Amino acid sequence: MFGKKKKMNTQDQVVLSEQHDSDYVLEVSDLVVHYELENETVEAVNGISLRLKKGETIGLVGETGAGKSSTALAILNMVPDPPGVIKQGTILVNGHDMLHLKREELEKVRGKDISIIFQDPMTSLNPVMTVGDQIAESVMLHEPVNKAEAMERAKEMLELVGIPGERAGEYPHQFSGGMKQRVVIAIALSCNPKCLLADEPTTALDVTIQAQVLDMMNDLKNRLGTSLVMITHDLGVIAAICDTVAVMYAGKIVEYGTLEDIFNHTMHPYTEGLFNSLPRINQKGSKLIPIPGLMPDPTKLPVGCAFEPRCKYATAACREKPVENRQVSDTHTVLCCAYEDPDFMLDRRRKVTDE
Amino acid sequence: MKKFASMISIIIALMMLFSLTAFAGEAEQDPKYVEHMNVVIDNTQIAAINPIGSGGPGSATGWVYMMVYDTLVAFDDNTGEYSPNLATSWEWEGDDWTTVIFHLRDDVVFSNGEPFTAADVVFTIEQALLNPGSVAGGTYQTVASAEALDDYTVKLTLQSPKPQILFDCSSELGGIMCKKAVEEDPDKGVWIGTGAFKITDFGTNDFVELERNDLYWGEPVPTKSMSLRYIPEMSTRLMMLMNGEADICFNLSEQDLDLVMADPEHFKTFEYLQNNNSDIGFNMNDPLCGDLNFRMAVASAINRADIALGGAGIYAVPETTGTFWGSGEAFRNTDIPIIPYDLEKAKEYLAASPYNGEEVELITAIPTMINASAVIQNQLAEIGINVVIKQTDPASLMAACSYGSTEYQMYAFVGAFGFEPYSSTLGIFGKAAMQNRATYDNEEVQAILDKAATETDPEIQKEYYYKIQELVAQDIPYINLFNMKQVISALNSVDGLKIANDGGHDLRYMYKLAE
Amino acid sequence: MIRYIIKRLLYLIPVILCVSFLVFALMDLTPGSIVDSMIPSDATPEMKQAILEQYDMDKPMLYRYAKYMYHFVQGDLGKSDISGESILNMYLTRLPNTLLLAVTSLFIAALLAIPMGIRAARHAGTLTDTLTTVVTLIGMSMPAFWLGLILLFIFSFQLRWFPAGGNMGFVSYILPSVCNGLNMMAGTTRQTRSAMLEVLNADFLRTARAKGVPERRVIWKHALGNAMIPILTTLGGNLSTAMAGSVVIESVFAWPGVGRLTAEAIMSRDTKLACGAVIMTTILYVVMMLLIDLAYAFVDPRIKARYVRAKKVRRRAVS
Repeated sequence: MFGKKKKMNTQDQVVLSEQHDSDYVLEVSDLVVHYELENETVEAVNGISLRLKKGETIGLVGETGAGKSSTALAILNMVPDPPGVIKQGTILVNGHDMLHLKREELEKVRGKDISIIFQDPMTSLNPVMTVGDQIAESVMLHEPVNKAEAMERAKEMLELVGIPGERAGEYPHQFSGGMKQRVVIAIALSCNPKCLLADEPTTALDVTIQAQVLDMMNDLKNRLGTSLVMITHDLGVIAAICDTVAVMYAGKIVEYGTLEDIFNHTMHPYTEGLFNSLPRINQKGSKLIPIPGLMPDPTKLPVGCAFEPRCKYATAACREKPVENRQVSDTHTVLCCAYEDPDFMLDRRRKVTDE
Repeated sequence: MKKFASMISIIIALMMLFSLTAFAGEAEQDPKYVEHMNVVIDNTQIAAINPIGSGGPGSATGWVYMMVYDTLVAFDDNTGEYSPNLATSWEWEGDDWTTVIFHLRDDVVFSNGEPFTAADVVFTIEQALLNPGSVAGGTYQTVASAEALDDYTVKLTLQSPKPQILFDCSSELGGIMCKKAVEEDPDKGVWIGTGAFKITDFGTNDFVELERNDLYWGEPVPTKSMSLRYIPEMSTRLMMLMNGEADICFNLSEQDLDLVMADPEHFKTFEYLQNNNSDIGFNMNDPLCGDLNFRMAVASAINRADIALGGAGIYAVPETTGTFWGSGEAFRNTDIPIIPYDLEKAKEYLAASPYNGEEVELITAIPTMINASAVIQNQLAEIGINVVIKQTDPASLMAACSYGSTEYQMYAFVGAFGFEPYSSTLGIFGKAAMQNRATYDNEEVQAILDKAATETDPEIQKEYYYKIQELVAQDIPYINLFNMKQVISALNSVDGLKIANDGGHDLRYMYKLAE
Repeated sequence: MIRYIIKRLLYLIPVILCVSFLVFALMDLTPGSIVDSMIPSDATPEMKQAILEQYDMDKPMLYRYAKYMYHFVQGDLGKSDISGESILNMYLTRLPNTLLLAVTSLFIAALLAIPMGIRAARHAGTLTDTLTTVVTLIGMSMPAFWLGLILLFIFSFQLRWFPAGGNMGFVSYILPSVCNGLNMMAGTTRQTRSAMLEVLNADFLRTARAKGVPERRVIWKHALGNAMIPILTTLGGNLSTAMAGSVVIESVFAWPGVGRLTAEAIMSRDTKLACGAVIMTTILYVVMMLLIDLAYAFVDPRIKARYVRAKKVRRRAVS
């Protein structure tokens, strides 16, 4: 399975990928992912476009069920099929068309050009393999090294994520949650991927550990020059490490912009809702304002704005026709028809202006 | 690991043994005959080859004993006459039938090269007496002591008068063993005999490998080596015969036999009528079955042809006479008429009996008798006897019905007849004898038996045994039903098998013609 | 670990006591005894008594049992009453036959069952899955006796590929192994399928795929490695059962194994042999089960950790 011949191929592939000269490490355009069940279709992702430059970090933020994880899986072309189907769109990872690669080619891109960190470190590691083997496996798959060299590399990777190299021979159950996530990160980074997807990497961890892991990721990302897609529902995480932010709601990006655009020039009512539901430490006694209602049933998405039922600015027009994407500035887009009225302004913006 | 290694070594050792037996021996072979024969045997498997150390032999054990050991005298099943074997002659000392002197051959050697002497005879009998449960122990049970008068003369002293000791001395189960060999190796030394074959390998209840004993004193045997293998499953036996894996095959099922007989171009059969009678017996101590009218009613109500057909089809031959005697045994009184099938008479007898419609228990074992019992049940129901059949296995049945005590009212089983009329008669009709399953006790029969015990004149013997058969036929403690026809299947080129009606066949001179 | 093994082996003592007593008691309750076949039809009462005494049949069952166990604890399984041979020898000459058959049939079962189970699990709910279920159901419900005869008929009688009578070198292993293996296969396939179904949705398989592990390796290394425990349990159970010997298979294929030895001992009322064989099989069975338990530790480090941790804790307690 790991014969020399395969490794040669891997190298060819590497050469091939280096010829790619686009600025973008990751380009997703008009991605649609559906889950086709027996008597209904879950419309998880409905036309998403993303672009990520080398070394850049993009934050994908939204509630649970907004389609963030489906997007991540789709980028790797790993949507569980059946029932998941990528209906349309193109995904270019380092120039590789992920949706049209053969299985073997796809396996070479995964882990080498792009890798992913999943949400739950407790279940993401194979319980019957040592962590060293799990890291080394990835190395051996993508680089022309023998087992000993791969193991050496695995130890280095462990050291890199702050775990003593001699623990490479231990099994996942011997590690704590935070340590496991470090191992997962080590696996993901073991082959120096151009792009890293992090699907809520800190959600399952203790708050104290969260910051450590996040710091480490940020540090590694900068050191290795990896582009990062950070999927989270935590705006704090976004603020800490992202350059660009995409706010997702019901399978669509409702607001897209630089960190500055999103935090200081918030345009979408849903983004505003997210900010309002954050606790504010500097304003003691202020109430959290949750967004009322629930996400729409993804099997029965409305024709108009999906956020309309929960939106305090909603008008009849929102409900009736599909919303157009609106370019606010060079870097900032928003998906909201309220801006057809040129005077419209969110409460949040108004407050800022008032102050 | 060690265990595994030793296991491997056992396997290798076994494989080497097999290969050894395949190539051992270089003696010249008559090109007319095939060197090796494969014999496939049935559930009369060979549990042990040790006449002085093991008990309960199946008939195949006897075949091997006959091939390996020799007896002092020979007995002709058909004529009932004795002839010399290892003993050239014998004489009785005095006239009380308790001391007999055998003069032995002086030119015999065992298969290991040891000369055969009187010491070996004395050793064999003494060892047998030390193990009453062994096969030789049973054979020599009436011997009090054995004494070597010189190298080739042996004196046997008996516990009680018994002219039939000659018959015992003709039994292959009492074959003479080599004293020196047994003393040197108690396990494999017992395999050494003076017979036509010697044992090269043996697996309990599995196989025996035999090779011609080139030192044999008798007429040389045509086949150089034989293997007897126990194949439990009938269909497997058939396939082995059909495949040519077996040259001769014992005990096939009736359907399988049809297949063999349908191909006379390749296969032949040896057929014989079994000496044993398939019968039903009454518990004579039971208030109901002890009543002669009841027994007569049963005897008149059964139709043997149907029972035989139901029991074993064409392989059961219905009894045609009224006697209860081994079919191949000497002094069989064929003049005794059979009780005719007559339902009217049967009902009259039944009315005269104490029977009141209650359940009558019939115990039975082995498939043929279980099948036959079902027919009997139906036939007796016609005159109003309500029979309940209880099935068991042979060992349980024999335990429940023997030594003149029987736990059931009736049984349906097979009576074991021998060829020596006195022992055979005593075993079945003698008071509290082992096979007296009917708990039969007739003083007149007993008195004749006492006289017959020491009678050697065939004319008088005939008179005694005919009388006993008549008396038994009047009392009807047993009703004979049918005799089983036994069929042995073999390749067409096989012959030389000497059939014995009691199953004690002689395989020594069996051969297979070369193509 | 050692302590655990010793503890498990100590459980053997009560088990052996129970099993051997049951054999003696049941054989005693069954009508007929060993001496019935030994007493000649013309035996005198004295002769009969002598034979009864020789085999202690004139004494109560408990006496015979106590006598047997007295010798047994001294490491002597005794001699068969019928053949006069050492019971241990008789057992050990037949054990290799049974063990080899057990191992070869297990091999065949595993070779067929695991790929079939995996295939069925990966295509759960499809035609492949249904077909597999049908095949395994047939395999489960087909009596070994019947299957054995059919195999013999086709491959031995019609095609003449294999000998009908067993134990004649390598070729004669094939039919009984296949017959035994097919019977074992059914349960193992179902077990593999359900174990794999549980594992196939596990997150760590996603991790493996995401790092570019080829699908084949994802299934055979990552998924199977984690589904191995229930499969191992089934296979181990099958192996233990096969080591006790199958009377049916051993009869049909004329295979002299320990199953037939035990059955024949019971038929001929050879209590000592039956008891000795059952005790040996019990020991073998318990040891085998222990080995399977230990094998779990090799398959699953979490179980291994339990042994090791227990040892560490105990050491700490001592110091």
